[in-house]
Amino acid sequence: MSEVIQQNSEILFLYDAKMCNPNGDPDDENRPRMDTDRERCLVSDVRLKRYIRDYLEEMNHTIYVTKSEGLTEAAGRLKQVLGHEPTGADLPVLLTKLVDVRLFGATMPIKGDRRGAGEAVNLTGPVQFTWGYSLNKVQLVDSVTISSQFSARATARQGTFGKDYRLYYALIGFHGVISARRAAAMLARAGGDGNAATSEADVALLDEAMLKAIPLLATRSKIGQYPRLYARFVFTDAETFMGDPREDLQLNPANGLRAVQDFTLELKGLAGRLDRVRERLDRVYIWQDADLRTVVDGQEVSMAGWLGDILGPDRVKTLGRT
Amino acid sequence: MLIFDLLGPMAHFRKYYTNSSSLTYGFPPRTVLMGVVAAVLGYERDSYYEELDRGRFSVVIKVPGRRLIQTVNYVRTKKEDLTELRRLGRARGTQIPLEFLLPARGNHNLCFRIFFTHPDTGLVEEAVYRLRENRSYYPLYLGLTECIARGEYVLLAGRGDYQVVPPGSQVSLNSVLNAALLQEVLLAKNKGACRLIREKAPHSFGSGRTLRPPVSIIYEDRGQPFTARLHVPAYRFLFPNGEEETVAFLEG
Repeated sequence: MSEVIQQNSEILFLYDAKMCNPNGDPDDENRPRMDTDRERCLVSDVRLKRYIRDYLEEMNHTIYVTKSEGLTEAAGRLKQVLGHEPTGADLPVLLTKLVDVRLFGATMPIKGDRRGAGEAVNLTGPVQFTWGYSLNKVQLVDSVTISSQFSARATARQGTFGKDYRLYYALIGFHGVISARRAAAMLARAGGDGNAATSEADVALLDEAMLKAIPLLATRSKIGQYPRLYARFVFTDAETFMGDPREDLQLNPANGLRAVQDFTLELKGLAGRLDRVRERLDRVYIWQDADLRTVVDGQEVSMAGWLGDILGPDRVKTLGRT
Repeated sequence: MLIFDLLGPMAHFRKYYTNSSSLTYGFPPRTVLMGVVAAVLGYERDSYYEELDRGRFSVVIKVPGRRLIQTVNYVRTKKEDLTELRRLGRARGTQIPLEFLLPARGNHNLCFRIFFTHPDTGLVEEAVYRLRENRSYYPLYLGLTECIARGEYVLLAGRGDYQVVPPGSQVSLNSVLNAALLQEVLLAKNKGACRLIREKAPHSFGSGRTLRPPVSIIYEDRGQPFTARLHVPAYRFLFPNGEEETVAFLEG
């Protein structure tokens, strides 16, 4: 088995959405989530985690927050996984089986020791993501009505009309943290069972899912999304965090974009943040799409190359997507 | 006395009396401030209520928020709703309007300045060390785990770093105020417009995360100071960069 993580990480993840709806608001006709004040689109952390969970499930991992088992409630899902009603003693077994809980944590309804007492086990996972926002200003496509051959009622003679909102182009950024202290707390909750806490292998699986999950999910509203940049900064200890790197990035231009070829991404702002923690940066895992042009002071560079220059090339590990 | 800033792009401090919609306060209530200090120091959930309740807290809204509602799907954990849902053929999960605070125009981050003292000086020194070195024990959040935040150390203030403003004096207050400590608001003395908001917010937890009686909090909506007289002393700080801030502790 693989070691329980001992080092913190911080993640910067960029993907783009072209002529699609990155994350609809279910209570707003499924319009893309928007921060209209700043003209940025938003993507919830659970949308991102849904991609990852779906990928992990596709790869035959057992997950807790599943979509494929049909309508079920949380207690029923735990029973499916275990084969019996969950009790507090099952926590290590559940954690060993459920990779998404080892990564993201969960609230699990588990029977208390006293008869009839319900109890919810709250596990905060080591991996947490912010909501994503677009680094560019986005515009909504005007034409929105679609028709469907399926009707709302069995007796109806016609199909129904629906709304289909899309954005022209959004480059969406997420920030994530991985806390080794949280993994240690999970290990303690699981009675010290190393298989029941977040391991290096789990995090490597997360790296893989971040690069591969989004293109795999090709439903109609999600076609046109590609990961463009993934960087995981690993610290030497279990306490250090450097903060949200998205605020250091700059798109040129940041308005009127229609494709990844239309802009460059200025990285220079990151240098100060990295400098503050450089002694405590152990290594960086990085992947960059060939179409994303990154620049420093206007000079085109690859992010891996630039990081190699400032941190030393041995601290930069390039991830592959195949 | 430890002073630090808490920064992040989004926040949600859930009002304790809302159920089907999650609305947010415009500032982190005292229970959140306790939780943030607990995360810096590495206290487990539910383990610190008594210890940190001995501390004194104050918070200044440095970058005010604007409110944005997004509806999110929550997983159902109750069996009882399921029969009903199946009958209606509705989607799984339950949809909850969730109100976020986002920084007002032009700012990347919300910013709350937190003032914290505790009778255990060792505890305060530990928090100072951890914030100064970017070594918070657990990650920091602005109310929800998806509202990841960063702590930025400002000052370890000693006796010489502040003036005590006696009770009953006219003060231009930067911090949020426990309404029980207010003598009167001096609206006429305010420079410019002033929009005061009063929200009932949690103050402390008893054992088992039971909520102790909440208190009314008054604050200025756009993070502007407001002029008032208080029943308790206020503290006027002069920061090295020339900034001046007057705060009252939530405990009085």
